[in-house]
Amino acid sequence: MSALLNLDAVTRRFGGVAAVNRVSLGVEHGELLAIIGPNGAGKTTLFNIICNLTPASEGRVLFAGKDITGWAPHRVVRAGIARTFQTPRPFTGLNVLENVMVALDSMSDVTLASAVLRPIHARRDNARTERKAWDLLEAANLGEHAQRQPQSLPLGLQRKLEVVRALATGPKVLLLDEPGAGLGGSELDALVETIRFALDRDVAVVWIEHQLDLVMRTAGRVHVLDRGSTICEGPPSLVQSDERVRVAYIGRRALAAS
Amino acid sequence: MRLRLDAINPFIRPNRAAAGTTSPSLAPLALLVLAVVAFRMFFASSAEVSLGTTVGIYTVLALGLSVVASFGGQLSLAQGAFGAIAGYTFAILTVRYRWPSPAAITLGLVLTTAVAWALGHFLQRLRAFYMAMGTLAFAEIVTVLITSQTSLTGGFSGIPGVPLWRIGDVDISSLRNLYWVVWAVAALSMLAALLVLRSRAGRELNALKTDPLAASLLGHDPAYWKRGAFALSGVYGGVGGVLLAVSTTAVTPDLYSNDLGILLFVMLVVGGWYSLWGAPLGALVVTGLPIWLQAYQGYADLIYTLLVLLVLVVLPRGVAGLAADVVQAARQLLPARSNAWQPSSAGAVEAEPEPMAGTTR
Amino acid sequence: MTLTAVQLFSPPSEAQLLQFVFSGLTQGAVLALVALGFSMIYASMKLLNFAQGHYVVLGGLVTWWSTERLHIPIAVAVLLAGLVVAAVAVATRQFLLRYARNQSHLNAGMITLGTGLLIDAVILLQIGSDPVYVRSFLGDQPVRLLDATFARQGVWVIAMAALVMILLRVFYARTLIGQAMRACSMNAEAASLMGVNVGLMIALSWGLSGFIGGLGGATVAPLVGAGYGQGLFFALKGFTAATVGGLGSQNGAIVGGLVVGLLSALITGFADSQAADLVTFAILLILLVVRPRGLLGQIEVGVTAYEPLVT
Repeated sequence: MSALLNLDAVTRRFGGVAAVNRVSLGVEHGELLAIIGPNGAGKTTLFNIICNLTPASEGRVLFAGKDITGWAPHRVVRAGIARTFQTPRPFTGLNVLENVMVALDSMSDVTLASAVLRPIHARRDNARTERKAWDLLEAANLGEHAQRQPQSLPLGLQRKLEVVRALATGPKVLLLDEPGAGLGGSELDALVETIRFALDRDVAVVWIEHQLDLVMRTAGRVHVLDRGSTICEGPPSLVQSDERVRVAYIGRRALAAS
Repeated sequence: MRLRLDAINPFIRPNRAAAGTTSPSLAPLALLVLAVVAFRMFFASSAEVSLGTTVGIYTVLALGLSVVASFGGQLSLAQGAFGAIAGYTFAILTVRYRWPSPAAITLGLVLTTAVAWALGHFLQRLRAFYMAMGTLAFAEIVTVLITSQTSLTGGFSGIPGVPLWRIGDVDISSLRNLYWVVWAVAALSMLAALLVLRSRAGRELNALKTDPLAASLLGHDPAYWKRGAFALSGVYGGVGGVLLAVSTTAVTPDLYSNDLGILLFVMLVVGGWYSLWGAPLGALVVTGLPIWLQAYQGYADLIYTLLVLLVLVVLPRGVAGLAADVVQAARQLLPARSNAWQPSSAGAVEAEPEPMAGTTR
Repeated sequence: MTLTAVQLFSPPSEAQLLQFVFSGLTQGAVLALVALGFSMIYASMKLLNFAQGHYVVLGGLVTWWSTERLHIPIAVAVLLAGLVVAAVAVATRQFLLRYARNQSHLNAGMITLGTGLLIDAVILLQIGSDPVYVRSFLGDQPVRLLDATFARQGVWVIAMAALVMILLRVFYARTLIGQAMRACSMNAEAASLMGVNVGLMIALSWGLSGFIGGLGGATVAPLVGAGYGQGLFFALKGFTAATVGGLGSQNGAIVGGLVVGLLSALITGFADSQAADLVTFAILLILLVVRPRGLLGQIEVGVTAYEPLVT
């Protein structure tokens, strides 16, 4: 149990159905782990459990040696786990730069009282945050869009902003929920670059994805879910040749017919 | 991942145009100060000064409500009760126990803020309407406590003889001087609230309002502002309550009854629920209305409520919203300014290693 | 709200206890009606109608106006009260809320508060700040039972409330429209896909809630009068009843009304009405913190932290 993030027999039931059924997995420092599986396999639910957007019915979530099961989501983020959504959720009232600044703000120490009583300190802190946000955007090649409204960006850039924003909270683990959906060709290459951007910052990335080609090419390890349970786990080569994985995706009959 | 904590020059003044979307301007505050001074120059009779003072006190009280609405997104009808707690504490301590005014005021404010914080803390999980009912119930409880504990609070007749306030030779609570005191307090209150919005809190609040889920996944606690907003409204309510006590030199249950909470609600609706400026604007309109409608004295209540309904249906952002729209439209007419923003190169940070070799953008 | 129950200042006798209970039942009956009104509208629109208590007062006022000024027979006057208040409720829904439909939910709640204030303003204009009293339906002769005296009108209040509740139960369970309304409150989208005119059902629920509020007000007016400032008070107490019993549940409204009514009456009897109010509202606050759902409620009224703040 030396992994950075550990899910221990995590289960989530809705009524009589187990959306996630006794799933255990570990995420090591700085690795790229992909989670795949047919629709409804419980992948997004798994992410929700890690962030405690959905409480786990059973099992524990351990992070950096601490049991974070049931922690309020914002506490989970502050502990070092960040998450993006399949549909980008930028703050539409703020521009791109401010979106990143909001993420940085949660790590700042300026409180309500100090904003009023120590306005100079608060102002400097604000300037610092603005600079950090700018630097981050520049590094991710989004600098030229800093002042645009995020909803005016193309989907690929919005996704990128999601990732950059999540990275701004200084996480050690980043959960990406189907960032490749709806992207094609060069945009997918850009996605891979973005993921490398995160990995270069010593952030472990857990990646839910449907684009299997992409996953098999880039991931270090793959974890396969089907109907809530783990059916296979290992390096891409192992998973690709695994019978159960094929059955899960294509179906037994289709497999037999082929 | 470690962001660069680096040799940032703390004296960098980034161009405001970069983060311009959420910071409210302080300019209207200057206008407010001008208006306050001008009013006194043109209208100097006792009745008019008294009216101006009243508008100022209501501004402070309504600001508490406005803060709960815009910082916490909630509806609180307990402002009157907060005023009562502070006002009565002040009166009891100064009249019965001969405390000096500053100490009495401080204790009153501390008490009120604590109670407000607690109320916000316990009620913050509730949907807006349930919370409103809860605050209404709280206000009723406070009223009942005040009228029933006659030995302490003087029951229905209240506590007369709140002492005049003196600093040296100057009688602060005289009609003439109170006007300035009240408006100084009101201006400072607006300034404080505006400063909060101009700080990172403004961004945070914007994010929390737009998408609390996403905001919480960036590390922000949605409940923090709900509690904080209530505590702030307690401060404002308390200050307003004390000012009311001083201005009428007697505290009675009628002064702070439920009607006050409702009146403040009306003011804020008319002035603009979603802007801090709704407080002074609403206070002005609602207090001034009976004056303009002198012929229709008996219909005052009716007109208020019709106005409320009209505003809610037709002009949901109130007078403040209207003013903002006007300003916005005026801005469009001005020549466009260059929007390009470059970070100052003073204290520049070393460039990040380029991880994007071969990327398409 | 003190009803005309006899109050003595010594340890209560059996007779007094009976009187307190009767007074409690009477109060409870009215509160149950208010709670039902809240339930109906909350079920259909997730909205608390802050004017619900004002509906009761308005019902009383209309009854007074009809009998004292227009000399309409009492039975007709009561019905008229119900209809007028129903019309006001429907108008609120059709004109104000419909018109403001694109705005935030909180705005809708404020609009209902506004209509309540409007009713208060009209009352102030028409009759001033003192309440008016309607004549008791069958005279003021107190009822005597086992040494205890009860206000005769109280019987009317209880009977009316009971009748309303039975009819509502039948309405929801047996009639097509009633079932359609229930369907709407459970899942409006599905209901409309099945051909139910959701807009009509919602308007109907407003009308009904106004109607029962008006009826309740008409019957209780002889006891407590109808006047300025009572509206919010009724609303708060009725809401407490709804919270105790559980919003959205018919049985909950009855249970809640009984609990709050009896408790209020007993405390009023042993202490005074102010203490009763204090306890009632303290209970509301505690319930809101601990179990806003109430005893029998189905509707989850808490907020997850992620419901968007008002925009």
